[in-house]
Amino acid sequence: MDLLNLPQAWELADLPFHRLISLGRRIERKDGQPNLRIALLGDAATQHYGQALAATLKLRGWWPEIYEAEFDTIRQEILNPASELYRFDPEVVILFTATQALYHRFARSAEKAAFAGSVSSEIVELWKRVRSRSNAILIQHNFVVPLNRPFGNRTASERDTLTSTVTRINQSLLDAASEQGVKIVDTEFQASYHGKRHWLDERLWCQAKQALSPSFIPSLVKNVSDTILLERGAGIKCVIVDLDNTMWGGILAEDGADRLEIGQTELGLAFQRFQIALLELKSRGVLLAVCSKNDQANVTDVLKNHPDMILRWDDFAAVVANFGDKASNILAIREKLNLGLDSFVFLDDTAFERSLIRTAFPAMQVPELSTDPADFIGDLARWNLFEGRSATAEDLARLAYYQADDQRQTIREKFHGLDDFIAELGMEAHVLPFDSYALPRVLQLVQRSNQFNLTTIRHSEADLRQLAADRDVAAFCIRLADRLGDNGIIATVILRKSGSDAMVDTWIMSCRVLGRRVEDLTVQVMAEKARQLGCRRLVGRYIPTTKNGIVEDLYPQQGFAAAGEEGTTRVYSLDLAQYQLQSIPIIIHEPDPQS
Amino acid sequence: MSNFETRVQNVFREVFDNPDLNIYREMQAKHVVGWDSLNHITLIMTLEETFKVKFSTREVMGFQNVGEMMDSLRGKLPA
Repeated sequence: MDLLNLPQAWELADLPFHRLISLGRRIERKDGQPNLRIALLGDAATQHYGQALAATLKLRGWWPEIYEAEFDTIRQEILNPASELYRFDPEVVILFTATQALYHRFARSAEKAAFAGSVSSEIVELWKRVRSRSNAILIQHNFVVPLNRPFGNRTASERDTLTSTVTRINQSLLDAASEQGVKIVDTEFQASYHGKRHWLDERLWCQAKQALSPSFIPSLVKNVSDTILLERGAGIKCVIVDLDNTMWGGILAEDGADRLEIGQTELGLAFQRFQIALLELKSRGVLLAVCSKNDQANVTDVLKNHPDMILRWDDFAAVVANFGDKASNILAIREKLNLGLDSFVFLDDTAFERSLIRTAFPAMQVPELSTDPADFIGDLARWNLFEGRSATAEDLARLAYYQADDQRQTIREKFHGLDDFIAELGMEAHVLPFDSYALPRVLQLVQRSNQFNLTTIRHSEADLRQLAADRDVAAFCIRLADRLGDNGIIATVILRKSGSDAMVDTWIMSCRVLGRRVEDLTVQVMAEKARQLGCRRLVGRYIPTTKNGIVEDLYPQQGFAAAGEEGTTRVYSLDLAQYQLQSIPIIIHEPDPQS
Repeated sequence: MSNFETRVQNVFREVFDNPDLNIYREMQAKHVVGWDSLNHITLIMTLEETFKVKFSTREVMGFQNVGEMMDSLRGKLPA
């Protein structure tokens, strides 16, 4: 079975119930897979729960053996020293107690005021009994505060209602749990998040003693598995974030720091609130790191000086911004932080980067953020990626120790699968004229692009139209698509014929697609267009600005020879007779020659 | 088979994890591998989610075969 098609932990909560079960069924036991003996005791039906928990743990790399006690036998199993429970010798004991089961007991109870106290002390007593015979991880579900409202809005303030009783039971359990080393699974939160009207399905309780609709069981047992696996040492210790359109709206290299959307606009507010959520994680000891395709100096400037940024330079344990591939950059971050790959979450809005990292490091969590940044906070809550305890002094010291430094991260370990990954992307390039569809984006690139811009000549729209019509000019742009989506127009080139030379007047590319052989492809198309103009040489100039240092060696890298200097400008040439076509894993579509 | 019946059949195939399962009106639980009381709940719930409907307790308890289930379901869908 293809591992890449299996859902990662963050996805499990969103799977439909039957899909989870059927995926779990397809997983076979592997040699050396860690075993987990789990006893499941409930006063509600546990079959769906047990099936789903088994599937979830299998999908997370564990092999569960589940002992499911008979319906509603929690007390017998725990109090009888000779019970199946103890014979099974569980490593995990789960007490799945349902609020619906309290309903009848509470209704019949003569001492309503004492009910909360007697239920919680009864449960704590059961914990102690388990503890006296077993070292198992003990998991207790808390109770969903019910929807009955005998006093209307006063229901919560009246002590003799089930609502206020359940609230008090939950609080007592929380207090006692930390003393007893019991782990509470917050069923009440789950029900609230998904909506109690749907969670507490009366029909299902009456028909089958189901405490919740099976639709929500994947989410509930995902949280149970998070709780168990945390005890087994699993847990996310670092979030690696992209910047452009993940931390802020816009693309720093194209829009500039002053046009980024952070805080001031509607979209900017959504990003800012997401930054607050990440800051909360940082405060509890989760490390934050940046991995961005950007210029390091520009990123440093925004992180240190942008007035609307919530997350600042000092909040990050590592900041890696360059135009290299993100897999190698993540290896550098990992080396600096000295954590296992399964301790990381990678958040990036770009499908290409997510797919690359998921392929390169299957152990790393690579969730898909919603398309609307306003949904990011809800995504984090639903995935429950950060199950954990409060930060220890050691955690906080580690953060101080790893404060980002101004030095560039040295890349010592290179990710070697990049070429294969790119070859399998199914990239297709369309070479397009400056027509009315392409012109707005071309104009934007020409007017705004600073970094991957060899000459920084700011042609106006009228100039561009004129150039497009000129027979001694080849003006084209390249649109790139792959199996992950359409990247839009990512390159713009203007060649002017001057005798037998084709002068590269403009060459601009989108920084996002660097490292995907698109530079090679662009030179190939340039060579072909130059030949069509009747030229024998391509002549390119690099005009340095404060921002385009990233392309200073582009021409020599592409096989051009140095051909002199004009002030600070460097001139390079490529003899077309010498130019050899390379094998590039991109299918090129050319327009009809007459157009 | 109508579009509606095909959609119902797809739910059966997913829930019982059998891509070759063919449903028919007289079909009952005993005719389907894995159709126990547990999967019955999953089936009803998946039909409800797929078709955005709710079955009453009385309906769920009263279905004698797949045909009755489909009639009840069809009656809840907008014409």
